[in-house]
Amino acid sequence: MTRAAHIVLRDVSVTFPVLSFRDRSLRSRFVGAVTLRRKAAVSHLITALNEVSLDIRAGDRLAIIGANGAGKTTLLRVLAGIYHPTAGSIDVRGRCLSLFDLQAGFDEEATGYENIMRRGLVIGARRAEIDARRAEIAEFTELGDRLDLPLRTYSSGMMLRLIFAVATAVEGEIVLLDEWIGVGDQQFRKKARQRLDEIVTRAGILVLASHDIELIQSTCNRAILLEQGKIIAAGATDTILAQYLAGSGGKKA
Amino acid sequence: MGRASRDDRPKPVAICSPVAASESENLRGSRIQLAAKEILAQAARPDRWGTLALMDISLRYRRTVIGPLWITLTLAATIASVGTVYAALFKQDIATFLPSFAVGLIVWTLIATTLQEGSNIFVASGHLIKAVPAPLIVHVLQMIARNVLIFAHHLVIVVLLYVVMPWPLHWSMLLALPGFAILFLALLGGSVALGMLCARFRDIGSAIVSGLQFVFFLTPIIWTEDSARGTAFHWLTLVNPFATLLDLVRRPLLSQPTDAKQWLLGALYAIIVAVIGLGCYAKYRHRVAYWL
Repeated sequence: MTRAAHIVLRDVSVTFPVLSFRDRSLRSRFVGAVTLRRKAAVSHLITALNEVSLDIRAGDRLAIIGANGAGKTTLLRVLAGIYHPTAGSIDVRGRCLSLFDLQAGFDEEATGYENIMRRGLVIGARRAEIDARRAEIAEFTELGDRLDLPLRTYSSGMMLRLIFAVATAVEGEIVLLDEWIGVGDQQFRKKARQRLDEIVTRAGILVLASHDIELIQSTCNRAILLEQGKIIAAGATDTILAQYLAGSGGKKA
Repeated sequence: MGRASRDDRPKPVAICSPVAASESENLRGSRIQLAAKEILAQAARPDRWGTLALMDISLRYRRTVIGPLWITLTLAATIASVGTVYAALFKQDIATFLPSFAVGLIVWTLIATTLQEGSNIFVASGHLIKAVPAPLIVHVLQMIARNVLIFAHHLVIVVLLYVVMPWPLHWSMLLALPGFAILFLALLGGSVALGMLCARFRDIGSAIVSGLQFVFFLTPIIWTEDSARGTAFHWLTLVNPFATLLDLVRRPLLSQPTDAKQWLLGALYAIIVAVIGLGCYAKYRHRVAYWL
């Protein structure tokens, strides 16, 4: 960590084309072109994020608050580099650890150990590095010899243990969380909570999208309130939370 | 396009791409360069896509005994049956027809499956693309590596055939390697372009399946260039890019001479396809996630 992590978003917009079956078909375009018939409406565009500007500096624990469909996950995906803004600019300095969709890259037929390798490679880690972390990850899962069995034989609890252990084995200066991850039985839950706390403490930046008021209060020092892809308020956690709770019934905050 | 490709400093786990907004502003003019850089950076990491490809194969055949050799066996059966029947029907010398047909079909299988899977690659990896920030080219490289590995299994058939009905060995067989490199370039470019096209327009995938079937018969695989000489089909061997690219691998493997014209033409085709692929990658790689 030579330089402090930071995230700067300037007027970032994300517009999705919602491609209906009609729009996706080349035939319909061809027919349209041949018969010279103009389509009444162009494909629907959804503005998932609308001119979002945001400065996140090292030390920030930012909560993204908003109703379902307000753009929380889209914003996280933009920060993670999965979605590239259709307008505006984004500058992310620091390594991102995105803790969502953790099961992506896992294969039912592969063993626990193979899945550790698979997921590691999928997120771009080097083979040698994964090999080096293997034992540590295995130990954290407490699954022992069962890591030699294919994933399809795992109970959902066991699977979650593995997924969690692999996902959190990587370090990052920027941690992106879509809801807090709670996994496994009581004992493992405690251990997972502890590790997540450690990761969050070590991270330069935390961005957390959540509906859990208490969690946000205890974890975050800043918050933004999203509504229909726009930041309608930003500031200290308590203020924003109050505004969110007050405005959640009415229309305008 | 704010976020630039990953930088080239080696890092343990480079998930995000830390390029300052101002830097990426300056790079706006060189999207092609950025795309090329991203592709080369990933191509230089066979430990990533190669291992994933190996795992794909080993997982797909986990519960079988001879594994991917099952596909080889199926192909061998086709070659043995169709090859002998056609040799008899078209009154071909089986000792020359069968090796040519076998190698032709094996290379064609690589071309056809790669393009078919390539056209579906981004749709098939959609879940992963929306979950993990990784350069899209990784999925393509992984898919091609997988098909090349299966192709390598099929080469067993060529070795067996050589034992049964040997043809002269010649140092020019090594030319199959550059020929393969040219074919690889064309497949890479084609897969990227088709993959993006099919992610946007979903019915192209089906068109490609039937198109490939069509091209198969227009390519000298079950018929030979010699037998077509003097017929209307002969000009097809001259203008069909698939025929040219296929021959750059097939002819060396059979110790048959290749001429400079074929190499130039093959390289030209590959470069054209690669440029189209690169152009698509530069222009649309950041849009693909929205189409899935």
